Amino acid sequence: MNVMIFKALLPLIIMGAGIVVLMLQIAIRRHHVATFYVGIAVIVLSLAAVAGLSPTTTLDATPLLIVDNFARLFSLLILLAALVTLMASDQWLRFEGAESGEYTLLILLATFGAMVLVHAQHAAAFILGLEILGVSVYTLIAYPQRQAVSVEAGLKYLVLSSASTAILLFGVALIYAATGTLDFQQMGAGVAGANNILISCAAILILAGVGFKLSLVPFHMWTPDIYEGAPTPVTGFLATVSKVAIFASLLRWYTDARLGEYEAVLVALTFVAILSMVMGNLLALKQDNVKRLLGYSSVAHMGYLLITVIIFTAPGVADLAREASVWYLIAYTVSTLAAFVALTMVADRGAYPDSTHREKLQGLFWRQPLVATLLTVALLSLAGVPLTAGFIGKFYVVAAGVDAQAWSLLVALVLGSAISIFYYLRTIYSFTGHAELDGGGAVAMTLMSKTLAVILIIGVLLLGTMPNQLIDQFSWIL
Amino acid sequence: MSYLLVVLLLGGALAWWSERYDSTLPAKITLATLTLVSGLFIRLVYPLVTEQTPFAEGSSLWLMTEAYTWIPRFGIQFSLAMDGMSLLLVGLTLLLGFVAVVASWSEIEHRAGFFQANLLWTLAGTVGVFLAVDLFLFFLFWEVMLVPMYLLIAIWGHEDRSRAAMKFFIFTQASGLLMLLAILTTAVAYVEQTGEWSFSYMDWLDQPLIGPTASLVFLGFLLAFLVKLPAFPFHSWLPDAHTQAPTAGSVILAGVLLKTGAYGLLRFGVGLFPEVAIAFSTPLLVVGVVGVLYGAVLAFGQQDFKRLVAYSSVSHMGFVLIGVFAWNPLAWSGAVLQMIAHGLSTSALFMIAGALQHRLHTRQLEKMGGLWRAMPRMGAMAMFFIIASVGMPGLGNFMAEFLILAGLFQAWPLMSALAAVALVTGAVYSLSLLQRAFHGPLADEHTTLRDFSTMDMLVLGVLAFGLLALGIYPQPVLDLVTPTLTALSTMAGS
Repeated sequence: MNVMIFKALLPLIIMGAGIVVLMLQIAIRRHHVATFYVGIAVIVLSLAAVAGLSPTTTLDATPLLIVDNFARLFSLLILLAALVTLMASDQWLRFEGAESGEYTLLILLATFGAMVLVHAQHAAAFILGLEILGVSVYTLIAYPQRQAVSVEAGLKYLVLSSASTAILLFGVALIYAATGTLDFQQMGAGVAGANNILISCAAILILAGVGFKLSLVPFHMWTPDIYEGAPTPVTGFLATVSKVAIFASLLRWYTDARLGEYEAVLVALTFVAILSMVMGNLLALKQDNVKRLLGYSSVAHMGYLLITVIIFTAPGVADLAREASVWYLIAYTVSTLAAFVALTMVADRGAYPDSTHREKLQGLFWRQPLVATLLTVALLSLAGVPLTAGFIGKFYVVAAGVDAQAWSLLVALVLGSAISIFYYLRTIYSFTGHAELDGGGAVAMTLMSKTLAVILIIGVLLLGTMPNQLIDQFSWIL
Repeated sequence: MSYLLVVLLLGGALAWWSERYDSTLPAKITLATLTLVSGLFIRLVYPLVTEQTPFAEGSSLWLMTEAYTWIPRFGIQFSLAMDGMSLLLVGLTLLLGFVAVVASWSEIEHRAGFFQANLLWTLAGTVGVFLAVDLFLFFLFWEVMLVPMYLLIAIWGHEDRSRAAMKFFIFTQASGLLMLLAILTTAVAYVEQTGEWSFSYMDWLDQPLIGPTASLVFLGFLLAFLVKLPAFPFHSWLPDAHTQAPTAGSVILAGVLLKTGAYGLLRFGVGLFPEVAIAFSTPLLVVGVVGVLYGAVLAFGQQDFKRLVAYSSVSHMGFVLIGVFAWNPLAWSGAVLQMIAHGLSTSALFMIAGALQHRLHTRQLEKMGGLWRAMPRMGAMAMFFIIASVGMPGLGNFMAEFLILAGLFQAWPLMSALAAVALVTGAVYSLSLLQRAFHGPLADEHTTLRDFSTMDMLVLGVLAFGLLALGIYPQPVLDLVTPTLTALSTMAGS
């Protein structure tokens, strides 16, 4: 291993070593504050290492892992999301009186898994990353062991997710049978020429497995229960880090392994995308708990995102489609994270898990103006209202869709967005109510929570008003 | 020009912030902000309006333009431009802003700061809509003005505010999404023709979109504008939103927000797709005439003061639609005049309706009657504005509707005759409104009502003067919009 490869892999190495350091620290002495700072330090160091990589590096670091701009960008996104999750969790952990050592450890492990996933250029690395991420997330969901609803959610996710991984593995096995390789690039070379029914089946199986983790219709059934049952910061983590990483690997399957060249795959994906956009939004209409609502709305958002993948193979659209998917993913991550951070700050205050019920949010504007503003900005961004990050994301997706002339997908997008406005707005409306609730504002927000809220509000608005700064950065991705 | 927007936005933030010190401060700050912005606006346009050169040259219909690079990736610019039409509409917006502040002066006590902030932000969004000549920017303002308006209705509205606010937002937002699709389709077509991204109105004029796509794109724009106008059958959000909104909200909604639809129709609908618009004119004229008559019939059936005025808006805005699609400079001038006259008269009526509700705690006409005796000032004002909206010769509304009908008659005599029926039905519902509210026996509990204050009278007096001026000597206003309309008809001709 020469110096260059070492430097390229440094973010992953720091995460791995950091996890060991954290375990040692917990073994020596359990201490809430120390654990918190070690966790933050590991992520910040890893972030610095990613940022320090020169933009042009594309390196086959090992047969399993590739370090390119794509991986670099998604690592940045994942690490930032993990950082926000850890910061938002602090107050929740103190309030619940939960043990913070294992929690922080599991977040770091899951982040590590997600990073492996975005670096994977080989099916083995893909499965490894997926499982490191998955196993940590099961445990995180069931972390409040005394809450029946959390344990139930954890178990549900464990069983369903394992089943979907099994399907995915079977798909990988079929591809191996057809092409004789597990390396994405070589697989792509094998896949491209052969018009093989085996590969079509394998591609559908792999997409089914990935579709489950992204909660696309018809693999979305688990989403609301798990979103509701998991501790709120963990839900935010699941909705962002886990989905970003898996979406990134979907892009690799689609482009490097060239599964997107199969007509059957395209047709299946189109159906899945349209169903996700329409069903996700329709089902969200019926939800009274904001966490469940965001669960269904994330189904729809993954549907919008899928548009950028489907049109990838249309002539002359690839660049715009890639930009659109990256932008939408960033906007989705920031907005979703902002929403769950706000809900964490609300959820602190009431009986878990009902505290995120819409009724309980009545009058939030007057009780906790900062949190209410954060949640409003996040929801408006998810709804795609201008001046927010979500609007630029949606603008990109529609622009790419129009360019590829994917009208049926765009109609579904417009229809879905129109429906979504209703439930986002109804939620925001409830914040303006007059109801006084007992126990409202009982816990003062820490300085860190306040800072985090302000940063997220500014972040969503800046991405929406001055997107060119970020767009300029895309030159090194494309 | 951009500093008009900046001052409005900052003034809103300042008003919100001032709420913590004193609950009467926000309204004062809003008034000061509006005065400042109006002063800046007058200083900006006064030299341009008084000297004749910009129009005489005939080189450009824009009085002034301003542009900054914003998102170069898509060729998006923060570009504003003002011609005679946008000048008039921005002026109207600022004037009605004053009316709205005065109307909310004593009415709003709950969270006054946030209220005034939303009011100023709505105005900022509307001014932006009238000035933007980059379609991306236009769409942005178009959507952004909705959010504070939604909050105005949802927080400070009346008994059924939640549903009304939701309906308003969903109607306009859903049609807005179609417009976004239309804008992007045009932009992509532009890229295919020239190889570069641009959302600039002027660029798009140079590379007109043709073929079957143009029809679809035009329909996307059209739907958004028809919903906002509102035209039959997309009007159903309007009575609810107007009735439930607080007085200031109704004033802005009726006076200015509806005009954004008419403005968009003229500038972007007709301006960018003249051929398609001509092809669509027969069905749209039918829609307009149906709206005119349907609105009038429904207005007659209303028991609720605000609802009645709201349905009359549907009828009056139908005239604007007819005027736009009559394809005649005369009718176009009429449409622009109608936008302004309707803005002045309807916002005055909503201010009176709001004052009545504040005093009587009801909008039901059967609970009113004889109010002239209790409040002679209000009665006189109500009579003036009701007569104006009936279309009394000598007042602005008459001039506007007359020009529209005269322009329409040249090519479509039957349509013109049908629409003219509305002048009769208009008189029926308007006069019955006056009669039911202000004449007849006065209820005992209403004898001690407080009449309009001097400030109220002053504001309404300005509006009344505006209507008189438009009715007697509309030429300066027509002169302002003529270059824009001539440019439109040359485009349509070629």
